[in-house]
This record gives sequence, C-alpha cells and structure tokens, in this order.
Amino acid sequence: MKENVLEIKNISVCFDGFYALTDVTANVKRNSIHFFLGPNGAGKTTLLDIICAKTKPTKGNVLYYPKEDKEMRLTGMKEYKIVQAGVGRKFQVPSVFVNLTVEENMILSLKGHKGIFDSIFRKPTKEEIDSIHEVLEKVGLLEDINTRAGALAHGKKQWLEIAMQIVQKLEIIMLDEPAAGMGKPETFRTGEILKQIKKDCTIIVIEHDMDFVKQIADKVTVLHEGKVLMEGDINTVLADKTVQSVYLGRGGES
Amino acid sequence: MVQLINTLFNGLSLSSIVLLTSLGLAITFGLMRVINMAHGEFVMIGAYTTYVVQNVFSGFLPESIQWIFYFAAIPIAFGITFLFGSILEKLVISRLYGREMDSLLATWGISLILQQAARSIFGTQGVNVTAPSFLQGGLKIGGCTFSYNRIFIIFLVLLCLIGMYFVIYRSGFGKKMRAVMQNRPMAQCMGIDSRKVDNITFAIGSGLAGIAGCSVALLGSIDSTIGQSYIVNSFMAVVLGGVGKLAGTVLGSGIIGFSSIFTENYTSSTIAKALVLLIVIIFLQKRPQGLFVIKSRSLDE
Amino acid sequence: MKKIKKQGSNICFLIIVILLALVPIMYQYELIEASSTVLFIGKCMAFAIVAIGLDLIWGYTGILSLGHGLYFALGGYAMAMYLKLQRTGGGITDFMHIGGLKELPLVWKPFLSLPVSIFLILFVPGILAGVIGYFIFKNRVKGVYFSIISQALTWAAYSIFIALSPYTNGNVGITDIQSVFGSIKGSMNFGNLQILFYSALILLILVYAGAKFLTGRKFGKLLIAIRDGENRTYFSGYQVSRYKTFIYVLSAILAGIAGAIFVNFNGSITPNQMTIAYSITMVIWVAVGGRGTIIGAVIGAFLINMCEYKLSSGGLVEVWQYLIGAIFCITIIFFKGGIIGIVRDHLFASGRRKKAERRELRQNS
Repeated sequence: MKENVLEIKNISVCFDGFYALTDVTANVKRNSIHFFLGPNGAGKTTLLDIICAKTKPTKGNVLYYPKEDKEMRLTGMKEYKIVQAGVGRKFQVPSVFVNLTVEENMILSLKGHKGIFDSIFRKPTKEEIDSIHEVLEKVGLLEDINTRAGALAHGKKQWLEIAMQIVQKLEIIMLDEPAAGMGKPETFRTGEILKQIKKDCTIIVIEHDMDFVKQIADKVTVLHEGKVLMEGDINTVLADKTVQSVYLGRGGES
Repeated sequence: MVQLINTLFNGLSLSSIVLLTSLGLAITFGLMRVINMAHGEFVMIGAYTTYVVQNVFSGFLPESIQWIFYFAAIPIAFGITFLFGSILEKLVISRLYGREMDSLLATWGISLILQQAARSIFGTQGVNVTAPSFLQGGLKIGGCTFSYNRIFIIFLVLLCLIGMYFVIYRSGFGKKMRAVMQNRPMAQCMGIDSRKVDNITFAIGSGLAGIAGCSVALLGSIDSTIGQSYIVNSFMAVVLGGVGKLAGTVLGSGIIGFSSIFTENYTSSTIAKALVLLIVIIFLQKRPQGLFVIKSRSLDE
Repeated sequence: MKKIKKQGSNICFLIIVILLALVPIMYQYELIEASSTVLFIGKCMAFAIVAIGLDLIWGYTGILSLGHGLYFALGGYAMAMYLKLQRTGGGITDFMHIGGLKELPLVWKPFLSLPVSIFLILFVPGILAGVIGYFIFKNRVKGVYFSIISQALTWAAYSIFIALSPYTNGNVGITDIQSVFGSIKGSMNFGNLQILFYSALILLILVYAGAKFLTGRKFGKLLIAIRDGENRTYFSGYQVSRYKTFIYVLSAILAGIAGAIFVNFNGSITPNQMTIAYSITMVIWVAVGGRGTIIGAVIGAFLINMCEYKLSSGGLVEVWQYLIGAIFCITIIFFKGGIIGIVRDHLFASGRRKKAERRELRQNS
C-alpha cells in the first residue's frame, strides 16, 4: 500500500483568464489530518472542488490510491463515482437535506447500495442502523434523530454533515470550514472526533481557526494566490516569515 | 436565388417577431428569474389595445389620416401593458421571489384569467386590425416581394433593441437594474430600492410585450389565444440564448426563426416545430453549462 | 390522535374508495340520475392516476412537467386506436378513407390485438419519456428550463398529431368508440359500465398503493433529497440523473394508463388532451390538493374536476375560468401545501413543530 492516499499533481485552474490555481502540487498521507490554509481567495475551496469534480482543472491530475483497489485518476471522473470510490466532502455552507429527518439523512449517506433497485427494495441492515446510532451519539445528535434536519440549529447542521461523511466509511473526508458557526468548546469537540476517526481514514480540512489547526493538524499546506507557498508541520509553518506576512500577520490574532 | 432571398427575408421576419415577444421575457427572467407565463397574454393585451385604438380613432378622424391610429397605438399599448405588468408584479410576483417554478405557475393562473377576460369582452371570434395604408403592399425588387408590414416589424424590433440597450447599459436606472441583477444584497446595501427596480423592470418587460402585440396585430386576426401561439417560440429563444444578455436573446431568436423557416421550406411547419425543439435539446447537450453555472459556495440554492 | 395523523392519508383514501365503490350502486338505485355523472366520476379516477404520477415528479422530485398531457394523450390514443379497430372490425376507418389511405397503415396494425395495445399504452409514453429524460437529465438541465422544454415538446407533438390527420383524424380525434368491455351507454349495458368502473377503481387503488410504497422507501426519501438539493445528492454518491429519468418514465407510464382509462369512459380522444393548457390544468389539480403527498394529488384531481363539472354544466363556464385561475394563483402564493397543507398545519401541527418552523424561518431569513 502506498504511503500517499492522494497526489495532487500540477493542478491549474483558469476561470475566464483568471488563474485560481497555478501548478499546485501536494501529497496527502494516509490516515493523516491535512490542512489547507491561506487567506481568502487563495484557492482552497477551488482545490477541493477539483478533487471532488465539482470543477474541472485546466491542467493537471489528481491521483487517488484506495486501500483495496488500484490507483484511480479522479480528474475526469463523475462526482458520484468519486464518492462511491471513497472520497467525500462536506461543503462550506451546510447542505443537508432539510426536509428529511436526521436519521433519513444518515441512511441516504450509508456506504454502498446507491442504485435504484436497492433504494426501492433494500432496507438498511441492523449493523448499518447501529453504526448510524453510534456516529450520531459521537456527534451528539442522537436525541435529534427524528428531527427534520432543516429545524436543526446551524452548529448541529454542521455536525450532521460531518456525521454523514463518517457513516459513508470514506477513505478521504474533505471538510470545508467544519468549525464555522461553532463556539470554542464545540470546535474542540469536533477536533477530538476527527482525531478519533483518522485511524480509519484520511481527513483534509480547510479552516481559519488556528487553535483548531494546532489541535489536530498533522501537516499543513499554505496556499497564496493560487500557488503553494509552503508545506510542513504546523509549527514550522507558523514560524515562517513569508507565511506570517501574507496570511497570519494580516489576521493579527493568535 | 429569388427563393433563397425570400427564405432569408422570411427567416429574418420570423426571428424579429420571436425576438420582439421574447425581449421582455428575457429581461424579466434575467433580472428576477421569473418565467412569466402571462407574457403571451400581455402580447394579447397589446394586440387588443391596437384594435380598440383603431376603432376609437375611426370614430372621429377623417379616413385620409386614419393611419395615425397605429402610431398612437404603440405607446398606448406599451403604457397599458406596463401598468398591467407593474400591478402583476406587486400583487403576485413580488410574493414569489426565489420560487421560480411557483412564479411560473402563478402567472399561468393570471394568464387563464386574462384570456377569459378577453373572451368576455371581445367574444371568441377573432377581430382584425386594418394595417395602415402605407404598410399595405410590399416592396418589389427583382422577383422578390418584401411586404411593408414585415419590414416595419423588423425596424420596430431594431428600435426596441436600441431602446433597451440604452435603458440597460446607458441610463441611471439601467445601472441600478444591472446592480440588482448581479448582486441583490449588495445593491440593497448601496441604497438601491430593489423592490422598485424589480417592479419597473417587470413593467418594462411587460410593456415590450405590449409593443409586440401591436406588431402581431398586423399579421393576422386577434383572439384570446393569440399570445399562446407566439409564446412557446419565445420561451425557447430565451432558453437558447441564456440568461441576462440581450445578445443571447437576439441570437436565440435568430436561431429559432431561421431554422423554423428553413426546415419549413423543405418539409412542413409541423416538422419544423419538432426540429427546432430537437435543435434546442441538442444545444443543451453541448452547452448546458451556459445555463446553470453554480456560482455560489452553497451547493443548492 | 397520533395514529390518525400517521394514517390520516390512508384513511382518507379508504373513504374515497368506499364512496367511489358506492357510485354504481347509487346509480342503480337512481340516487344518481344521469349516467353521464357516473362516466364523469370514472374519468376522475383516470385524472387521479395522472395526478399521482405528476405529484411523484413535481411534488416529490421537483421536476415540473408542463407536458404530461402528451403522455396522457399517447396512452389515450393507443387505447382509442384499439377500440376504433374493434368498431370497424379491423378495417380502415372513415377518416383514413377521407385521407386517401387504401389500407390500414402500419402504425395501426399492432392495435388489432388487445395485449399488444396494452403493452403499447405503457411502452410508448415510457420510451418517449425515457429518451427525453435521458438526454435532458444527463446534462442536468433542471428547474424552469426543463419545464419550458417539456412544454415545447407537447406543443410540437400536438401539431404533429394535427398534421397527420389521415392517421389521427387531426383536430377531431378518434371518436365513436365503445369501452373495452363493450358499450356502456344505456341501462341494458349497465353491467359493462359496472365492470369498467370497478376495474378503473382497482387500478387507482393499485397505483395509490404503489406510489405509497415507493415514497415510503429510501427511494422516496431520495426523491425529496433530489428536490431539495440535487447537487448534494450527487455528492452523496447517487447518480441523480438516472433516478430522475426513472421517476419521469414511471410518471409518464402512469399518465399513459390514465389516458387509456379516460378514453374508455369518454368514448373519444382529441388532441385537446395534448395541449399545454390541459397539461398545466393537471398541475393545478396537484397544487390545489397538496403537492408532495399522494393523497393530495388524488383529492385535488377529484375536487377540481367535480367543481368544474358542476359549474360548467350549470352554464357558468365563464365564471369557472376566472375561478380556476384565481384558485391556482392563490394556492401557489399563499398555500404552498394545498388543501393537505392547510389541514396539516392547522389541525395537526403541534406547538413544538410550529416553534421549530418559526426558528427555521428566522435562520433562513
């Protein structure tokens, strides 16, 4: 098994002549928590868009090495196939199915059985329901299991979406600002949950909250104006002068 | 050769009619994302207005200068449909922003009411507008005949286009309109009364339908279903042309108009309808991204 | 109380079924005077079936079709062609004769046999919807764009049916036919009418049960998921376009079945059933009854048509046109959930739910 689970190779994206990403290369190690940092407009979300095929790159490749399968080229694959192959994503704006209950949201997210026939005739097994309950317990949504997802508070929606990623048994989970709209204690708890699940999967995160980054990051890639500025562990990155000037210096905090 | 020129002229003529009926539609859809199913009925109102104006004028004008009625009818039709549009926006559309499909259905309800109103007032029999004398007949060049009223419609469309261009791109109101179109919350923060902009924009779109009504009144008899017969083509033109760009609507109308006429020449008008539909579907295969680009960071709006 | 809430729609449907089952009996004992009323209620069952199909795609999946009249009419024409050939004994029809045809055209030949005709009633709408759906949904054309295309499709088909008058009898349509079970006119044919009526009722029950089953499964939840967040559903690993095509085809087939039933009661089919106006009328039924609930579609179809029947036969056609326009408008603007929505919100909504909804509203605004 390869050490890298995801290799981003020379990705460039051009929107109407504007380069959102230029020649970005990065490797993500298996069972690690990998952060992409950078000021607004650095191209973080665009990079996730490319991995999950929401956006097509102008140039470059994304390679994915699943545990039990041979290498896959994610560029050019359909998004639902990428999800089925084990790469999923939580979006920046919480997008759960508002008119379904928490449990129904989770059932739709279960791994496998995405065909029409199965959707009609197959019922979730006991193990699957148990795993749903277990995950909901972890994120503290068990008592809301029959609530309509739309009626949840913002923070709970975020957790539900994270839970939906976990229950899919993905190999790579991408989280775009998972802590947005959460308070400090909730953010910390999210971090602890992520640390727990990383033994089964790899997690890619975009986040601005530095305490959160320090809490869980294994590796950090800093993007700036669509280019990779630096890569390394969080302390080296924070100590770097260029990084401080383009990003951290401006924010002032932490 | 003669036949080719005739075909081209007919294509141009049909395109201009489609364009005239779809201009207003494109504007309301571009700005407010509202598909106005009653747009065809605004065309109908415009046509009936022309008819009424003709009858009123024939009452007290001497025969020789009766053609003036038509020039009076155009602004009057614009004014009346403008007013109708403004009222419709206030009563119905403004309650349905963000619910595209629902606004489509609600305006269909309005269209039912307007059609019945036309039947109640004018009866089910079609009525006719006599084209002003100078529009009767046609220009003969070589073996080709270009009927004056069709030439007139082409000029009318050009006039409307130029007018729209100035309103949208050169006027203060147009600036506000585009601001609201591009970023509604931001425009509101800049102190633009977006409700008012919506209302006037919708009214202008409806007014254009009124002008279209004046021109289709020249082409045949007017009854309560006249709007319906023009509207499907207009919708297709808007879909083809994409949203929010005048040029797109012009192109879309052109494609619809010319392809209808060309296929009609070789086959029949019914096959032409099916073929145009096919063209639109094929077009959507090639360029669906022109129609629904996901711009925001949220997945589904 | 809780049980009523949960089973409310099924209980409601049961009541409707019982009432319907009583209709032929009431006619027999002359509680219903005109046989035309019985025929009309029969047609309403067909309308209810097409309404269920329309609700599955619009109320559940968010695909607004403005062209279901086309599928309804295709099913209707398929049925009518079979029935017409029964009348002519397999020979050519009067309008073919006028149209200059010497022998039965090839497209009419399959309709000599009942099983083949039944197959085609299902197959023709299904395959057309399949092709259209495949190409349109694959490229993620959605929302009002789809509506406009479905409308144009109906419009094109309508003009083709009119133009091919030697084959379809143009504007007049196929008339002067009896039902599958023979003539249903007059008291001596009451038995036939009874069989036809109950067969239609059984079909309605089957369609209702099938729709209930589908929407109760994960499949139904997925439809709602697609309606509320199509892209999100793709990113949950589902091939949404395939689901949409599937439900669209199913709904077209239901429309075809409904059209076939309609022809049996109506005794004719015209291209009128294929117009955009007629198609949108079907949407009105669903909207008024309550989109997103199967029972709502059934109630809407019966209610609107009953009102129309009462008012139109009372010489109030004009008033009806204004009324239906206004009802539709008001329902869409103020009562998104239709009749069912009103009942649910005002009779059954508990305080907690209301509070939650208010909070949601605040959050979203």
